[in-house]
Amino acid sequence: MAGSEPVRAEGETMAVDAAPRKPRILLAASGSVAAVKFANLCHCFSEWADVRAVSTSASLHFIDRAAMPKDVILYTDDNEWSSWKKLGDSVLHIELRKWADIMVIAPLSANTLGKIAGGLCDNLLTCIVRAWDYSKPFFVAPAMNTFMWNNPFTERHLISIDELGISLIPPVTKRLACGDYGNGAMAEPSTIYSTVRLFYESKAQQGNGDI
Amino acid sequence: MLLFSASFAFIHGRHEIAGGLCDDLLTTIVRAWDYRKPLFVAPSMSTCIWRNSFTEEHLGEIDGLGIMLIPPVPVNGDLERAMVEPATIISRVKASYKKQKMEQKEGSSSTSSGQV
Repeated sequence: MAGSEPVRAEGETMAVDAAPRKPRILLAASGSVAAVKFANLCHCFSEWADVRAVSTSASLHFIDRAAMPKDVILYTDDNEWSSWKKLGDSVLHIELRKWADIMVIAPLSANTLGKIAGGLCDNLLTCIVRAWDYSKPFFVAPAMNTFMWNNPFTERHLISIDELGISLIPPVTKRLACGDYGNGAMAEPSTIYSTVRLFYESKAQQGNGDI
Repeated sequence: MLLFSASFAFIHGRHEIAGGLCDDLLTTIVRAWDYRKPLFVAPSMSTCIWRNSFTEEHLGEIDGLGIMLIPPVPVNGDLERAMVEPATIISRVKASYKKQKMEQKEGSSSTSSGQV
């Protein structure tokens, strides 16, 4: 039809001559002590992108909600259940999956890594992952104790998520929150931000702005 | 000194261990475990769950890690698989510990006498 707006794959209309919109980044935190850096991570991304945030119930022990950027909505499991009242209502994990161009889980805990590798989906975060379109970029930045990082399960799980097409931002070696020294600390928020942004911009150059 | 853990492996817990999940204190310890140190499990569940194919799969997973199984015994006309008696668990763990100590002794004496 002449004059009609092009429709994107997810059913979202876009004006013909619209300026390219900001990338939409879904940032998520699972229950690792490194979630104390989550507000900082959100600030890093919010200058450049439209950001929405997701947290597991365990991560809320560590996230300083007052320090979160004012324009970033933080979704929890409570929102998943309270947003649905009757058949026909939108489902939050599906809406967020449709909305996002890129997903980043930082920190990714050993438990959530295990759930993703096994296809389990018992909270908002893992339901988004279970419904994810793997043609869209997906990054994880694990954070766990060195003993957990070196445990044989970790390698198995990393192989599983690599096969899905999830990109790993590896942890670093340093003094951990528990006092142990070794590998397993989450990469710095600035490193996570620059990794994702470089990836996005290189893809955008290759494909005229579309990922 | 080596640490030993004798635990009740219930259905959900066994699945969590086999899947590498760690959402409570017990499974977090297992997830961080050094498998050069012995780890024992003593399951307890109904016979129909024990015979389910998932159980075999999970037992295969934990066996692959080096976790040692103390199998349950049929009770109630084979309706249930009960955990073995605590005394049996203790003797099994003791025997394993003794064996390991003996092997360590033999290993150190053969090394000191110049044998490889």
